[in-house]
Formats: sequence, structure tokens, C-alpha cells
Amino acid sequence: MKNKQIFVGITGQPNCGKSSMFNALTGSVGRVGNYPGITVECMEGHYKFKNSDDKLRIVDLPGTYSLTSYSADESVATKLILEQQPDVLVCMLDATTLERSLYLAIQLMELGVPIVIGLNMMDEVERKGITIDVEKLKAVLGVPVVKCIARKGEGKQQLADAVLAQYKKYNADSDVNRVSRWSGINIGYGSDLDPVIKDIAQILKDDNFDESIYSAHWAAIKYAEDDKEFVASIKENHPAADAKISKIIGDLTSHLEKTLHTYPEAVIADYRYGYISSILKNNEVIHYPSDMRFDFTDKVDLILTNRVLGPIIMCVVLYLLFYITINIGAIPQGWCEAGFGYLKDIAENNMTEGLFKSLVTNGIIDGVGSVLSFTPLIFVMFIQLCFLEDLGYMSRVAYMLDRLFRICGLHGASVMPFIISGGIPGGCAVPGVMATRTLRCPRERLATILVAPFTICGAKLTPLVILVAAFFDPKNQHENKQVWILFLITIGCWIAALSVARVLRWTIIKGEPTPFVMELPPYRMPTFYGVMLHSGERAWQYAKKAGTVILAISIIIWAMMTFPQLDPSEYADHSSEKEKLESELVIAETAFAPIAEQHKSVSDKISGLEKEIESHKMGKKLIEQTKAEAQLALLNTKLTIINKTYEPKYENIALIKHKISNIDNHISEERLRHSYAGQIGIKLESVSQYAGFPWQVNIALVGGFTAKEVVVSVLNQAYGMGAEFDEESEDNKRAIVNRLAVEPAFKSMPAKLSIILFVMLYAPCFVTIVVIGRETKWRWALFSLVGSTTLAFIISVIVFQVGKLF
Amino acid sequence: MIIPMREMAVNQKGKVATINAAGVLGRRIRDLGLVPGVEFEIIGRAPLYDPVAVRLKGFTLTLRNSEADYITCEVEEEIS
Repeated sequence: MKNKQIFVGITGQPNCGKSSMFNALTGSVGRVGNYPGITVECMEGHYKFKNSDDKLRIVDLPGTYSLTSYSADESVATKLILEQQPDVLVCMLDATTLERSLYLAIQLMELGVPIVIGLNMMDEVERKGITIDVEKLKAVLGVPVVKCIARKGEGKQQLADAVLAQYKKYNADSDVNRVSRWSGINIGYGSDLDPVIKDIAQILKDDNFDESIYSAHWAAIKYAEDDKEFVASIKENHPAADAKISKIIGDLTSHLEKTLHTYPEAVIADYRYGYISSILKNNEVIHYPSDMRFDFTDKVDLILTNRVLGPIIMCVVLYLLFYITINIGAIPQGWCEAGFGYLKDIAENNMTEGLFKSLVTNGIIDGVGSVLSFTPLIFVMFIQLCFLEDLGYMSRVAYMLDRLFRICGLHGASVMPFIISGGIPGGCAVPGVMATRTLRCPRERLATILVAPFTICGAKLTPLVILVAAFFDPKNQHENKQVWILFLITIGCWIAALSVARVLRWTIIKGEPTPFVMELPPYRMPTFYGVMLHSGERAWQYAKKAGTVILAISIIIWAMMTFPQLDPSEYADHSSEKEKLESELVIAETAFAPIAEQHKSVSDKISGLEKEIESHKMGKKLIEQTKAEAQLALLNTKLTIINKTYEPKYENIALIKHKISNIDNHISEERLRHSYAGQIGIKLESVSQYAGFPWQVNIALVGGFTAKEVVVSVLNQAYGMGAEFDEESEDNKRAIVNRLAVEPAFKSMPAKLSIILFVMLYAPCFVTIVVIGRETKWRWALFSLVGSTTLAFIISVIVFQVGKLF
Repeated sequence: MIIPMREMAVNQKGKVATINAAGVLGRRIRDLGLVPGVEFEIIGRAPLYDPVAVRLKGFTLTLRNSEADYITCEVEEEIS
């Protein structure tokens, strides 16, 4: 028995300080445990005793109010307790809400698993003037109870000692099976239920029910509680018994409904609470002060959830959250990008020209780099989200906004993902989708994930700005007008996102709203360590999960833009013309060299003299100044003469260079047309014509799937303006704006609106798609991709076709 | 006097009489400590009047009006 690792689960109701105790016990070695089929994070760590070799392996189970499950995610804690079978459970209780906290502890004691109770928040209890007699509590419950202040790490050693003692007590006789070593408490559920529970347990026993994990009695209680998840697993192994039991339960339910207007599960809950209050009252365990003081949280809430001030403060907080994520997060993101840029430079300088180089630089480094660069952004966002969550502010946001979001079948807490995704233009859907982790309700969360990408992320803003400028203000004279149109587009995106959410919740994600009933926890200052640990873990998961898929997709996308390659013979005319021009250029440059040299030396002298004159002026040396000025006049005359031969030659060279780049642009346009992406774009023209898009736009939109800002650079290439597009360059931007402004395909207003609407609504970029797949299921990722593109297309077609009629 | 929780005013105190919700909602309400006999006080409503915030012994819950409809409460007769 010595030196064995003892497996300990920490459980407790949400906000009871469970994670703080986990952090205090395990120190800095937390990591997310890997449990199959579980989407909720469970941290895992170790505790080592100072004076012995015993070691605890500790899992931080998800917080839960009771062991009865009503959705797959909520049942994680129960499942882990039953399936992973921890040796000892630590049940953390918030002593300020002792009665309700004991509700979970009582259920664990019913199951019989060895537990140790950590009575947390003892400092707050004292501040509130409540007194708890811990010795009495220990005696009436019959389990070890340890006083703690988890935030400060107080009580962790005593807790670990109690766990070890409990383990030794229960494992002294290791020959007997696990469950029979347990001693579950037996709560009476009244004259209606007790006989039924006994009967059910007997039926299970008669059917050779395996009691090695939990007792038949406990299973019978679960039946009476109508815990569907749990019952389903028994039904599989005991179909005959299940049929009998179902009938008994049916009779019981209708009997209770007729006589008491209640349900078996309600009776069970009543008796459990009754049991708790009776042991607390009869033994005088807890004393409340006669006047419960108006505490700190109440005072803060008077302001933070005030009818007028509350929403204003919330707007400021949401804006700050957005601002810090996007702007501060961009700084480390920039470092990451620079790092990948450096890698790309190395590859470009050291690899031989060819396909493999293109794959490495344009495919792998660009693709993986673009995704991994999001990691710091996500980290920065989660630091804030974890902070607000641990602080208790998130539930206030949900509380204040729920009425609005419920109209669309969402939850008050859906606002965070919306804002971060780009509800304020310039966000990013990748951290936005990740932010839905704070939503505990599965249907509302899924709907939020699917519609949040409709908002305007920073990358989508790039093509929208270009389109708006080209269509509504090509001469760049009315900046206000452009801003107004972008504002309307933002509102449009919100309307689209919320209406689609409403429709989704009426159709494919339909179902009753998940109960909103939740706690408004007291405001508590989060610990720096806890926030960093959880946000770091989530960011790392993003990098690990997204990174692996993205490599494959990057290569596919690169191949689509590169293959099949254009055969050199197809642009032989251009090539020969280019060669001719290049040799012309060489001749022109050779002829130009001497005169250019002369021009340079004279120009240098002139600027040297100008400086000299300036210094003479300062020093008031009149004679030297006059002398220099005379020299300058002489040189200027000389320059004018040189310029007569210099300028035409210079212009000629510029012209040749321009012609060559035109040919290059033309070839790159041909290459793009020829690639799979281009072919798809051209083929799609037969469909996209209904929405008014020419093939150039189709290719750009296909390219935009890699990242939305790419739409602009692909348009640039497709319109024969070069493969290189610098987003920062005003000239580049003006050029594409001017080109689009005169594009005949976009002369009419319906055509303009059609393309803008499409860019607003069509498929999220592939990084977002991958994250959606990772956060939900791959079929939802596919649904997002196909669904939003279809929706965008239908709307564009309607606008274009109806608009044409006028 | 027994009235639905929805009809209670802010700062009004009461005692839970019945909870008429079964299934997921009923379970959630009970898990969070709202069971017959529990005393509480309505401490506020969200800016759009819904949800409502309820103070129980030691903690605060919030629930939608549509959920409060399932809960009836015993309140002091108002002296008008």
C-alpha cells in the first residue's frame, strides 16, 4: 500500500473555490487531463507529502450543483466519479451557503464514495458574522471536515492529510471489493418513495446487478429521480428489469401527481434539503446573526446592475475587453508574425527556386503561421474572460442582457463572443468562437458559435473598405460617407447574425431554452495564478488542436492556387516579348549609365553646396556665401544641360520596366486563371452570374476562404494588376479602388450591393471553420461553411435580380 | 396570500409555496436551492425588467420571469 499514487477528485458546486484549492494543492504543475468524449476542461496535478512518499494525483472536476444530470456536459462530474473511480473525493463547500452546498455533499455521501469535506470561505463566514461549529458538523455528517481559505492556501495541508487518512481507512482491507468497503448514508424519502426504492433495488439485485461501482439502492434512487442519462446505461444491461421498473415508476409518478401534485424527483429533493436543515438545526451547527449585514456585493450591485448605470458600465467593460484583445493582443501577435516572416525569409534565401520552396513558404509557413499567430490574441482574451468570470461579473452581463438575446433564442452571455468576433468591426471570429466556452447551455452555445462569424472581423473589414470606397466614393472625397456606409454594414451584420440565430433555434437547433436559473455569485477578486493557469491552458489547447489540422488544409489550399501549372508554351508570346523588352532594357541601361553618373555627381555637388551656403548664412560669412552661390548657379546650368539627355532616357527605361511588369501581371493573371482555384472561379461564373459576380470576383472569394483580407490581393492579381499586393500601401489600395470603380460588372447599384452583402455573410475563413469543428462537431463546421455561403448567395441573388427590375 | 413569483415587487419578501416545474427546469430550480419553505427576497430586476434577482439565505439567484411563473410564493397580505 505504500508509495501508491492516490487518485483524488476535487468536486464542488460552481464558485465554491474548488479550483483555488486545486491550484493551492498542485502548485504549478496543472495540465488538462485527457478524458475521452469530454469537452469540458478537467485540470490534473499532483500533491506530494512532505514527510512521506505518498503522492496524490488530483483531478479538478467540473463544478456541479448536484449529481443528477440533465445534459451530456453537465454529467461529466458524475461520469468521472463513477467511471474513473477516484480513491477519495474532496468536496469543497462554500461555507457562506452551507445548506445548499451540502446538497451535493449529501448526494456523494449517499453514493458512499469516501469523501473529505473542505469547508471553504471561512474568512467570509467570519466577516458576515456567521458561526459554524465545525466539530459538530464533522460529528453529524460522520466524515472529515477541514476548515479552509482556499484563496490563501490555508487548510491545504490538513486537507491532504485528511485525504490520506480517509484513503488508509477505506483501503485497509483490500480483499473486499470497492463498493462493499463504502458506507453510504441512507436518507428516508417518505412513505410514498421508500418502499418503491426498496422494490427497485430488489428487482435489480435479482437481475444480477453488478454492485462493484455503485449499489442497487443508489441506482434505484437515480431511477426515482428520472436521471435519463444514468438510467439509459442500466437499461442497456438490464432490459427486462428496466421494463418492470419503468412501470413501477410510472405508477408512482401518477400517484404522486394525483395525491400531492408533485413529482418523485421533487419529493427526493425536498427530503434531501429537509435532511440537511434538520441535521443543521437539531444540532445547532450554524448560527446566523440576527441581522444579515448588507454586504459588499450588494453595494457593488447597486451600481453595476443599476437600471441606468449598469448598461453604461457594461458597454465600457465590453468595449475595453474588445479593445484590449484586438489592440494589445495584436502586439505579441505581431511578434509571432515577425517570427514566421523571419522563417520565411530564411527559407526564401536558402532554398532553390521551385515548387517545394513555394510549398514551404507560401503554403506551410504562411498557413501555419497565420493560425499560430492567433495564439497570443486568444491568450490575452482568455486572461480577461477568466478574470471577469472569476470576479463574478460575467453572470451580471448575462443577467442584464438576457432579455435582448433571448428574443433570438440565445443567452445573455452570448454577447461576449459577438463583440470579440467583430460586433465592433475589427474583431476576430477565432477568439470569438473560443469565447463561447463561458456559455454553459449547449443549444444557445451552438447557435452563438454558428452566427458570431457573421460579424465584421478585422480581415473582412479590408475588402469591405475597398469595395465601399470603390463603389460609393472612388475619388475619396467624402470620408464621412464611407464611414456611414460601413456603420450600416455593421448594423446589417448584427441583424443578420441575430435573425439567423432565431431561425436556427426555430429549426435545426430547436428545443426549449436551457434553464437560465443561475447564481449571481459574490464578487471575489480572482487570483493571478488561477487566471493565468486557465487562460494559458486554453490558449495552448487552441494552438495544439488548430495547428495540426491547419497544416493539412494549408497544403490543400496552396495546391489549389498553384496547380495545374501553366505550361510555358501557353505564354510563349508573352515570354518572347518579355525577353525582347529585357534586352532592350539592358541596352537602354548601358547607354544610360554614364549620363546617370554625371547627373548624380552634379546633383551631389549641388546639394553639398546648398548645405555650405546655409552654414555660411548662419555664420554670416558674406564673402564665402557669395562665392558659393556663384558656383551653385554654374552647377545648376550644367544640370539643366545634362537633364536634356538624362530625362528622356530615364523615362524610356521606366516605360520598358512598366511594360515588363504588365507582362508579368498578365502572366500571373493567366496562372491564376489556370489553377484549380481559378478554374473553379471561372466555372462558378455560370452560377454566380445570377448574383452579378464576374470570374475575377469568384476567384477572389474562393481565395478569401484562406483569410478574408486575401480577397483584395487576389482581386488585384485577377484584374491583372500584379501578384504582389501590399496592404499597407496607399498606392496599391488606390489602384484597386480605381480599377473596381470602372469595372463594368459593378456599374449598377444592385451589383454593388450584391457583392458587398456576399462578402459580409459568406463562409468564415478556414481557421474559424477548424475552430468551430474543434469546439463542436465537424458536421457543424461543414454546416457553417455551406450554410453561410448558401445564405449569402441567396441574398445576393435576390438583391441583384430584384434590383435589376427597377 | 399565495401569488406567482413574477408578480412580486422588488424588495418584497416571501416564502416558496410550490414549484410546478418538472424535468430539466424543475431540477435546476431545486438544485440551486429553491424548494418549498425557503424564504427569500426579490432584490432587483434587470434593466429590461427581466430576469429577476432573488436573495436566499447566503446567496443570490437570478431567473427569467417565464421561469418564475412556475413558482408560487406565500407573501404578506399588502396593506392598502
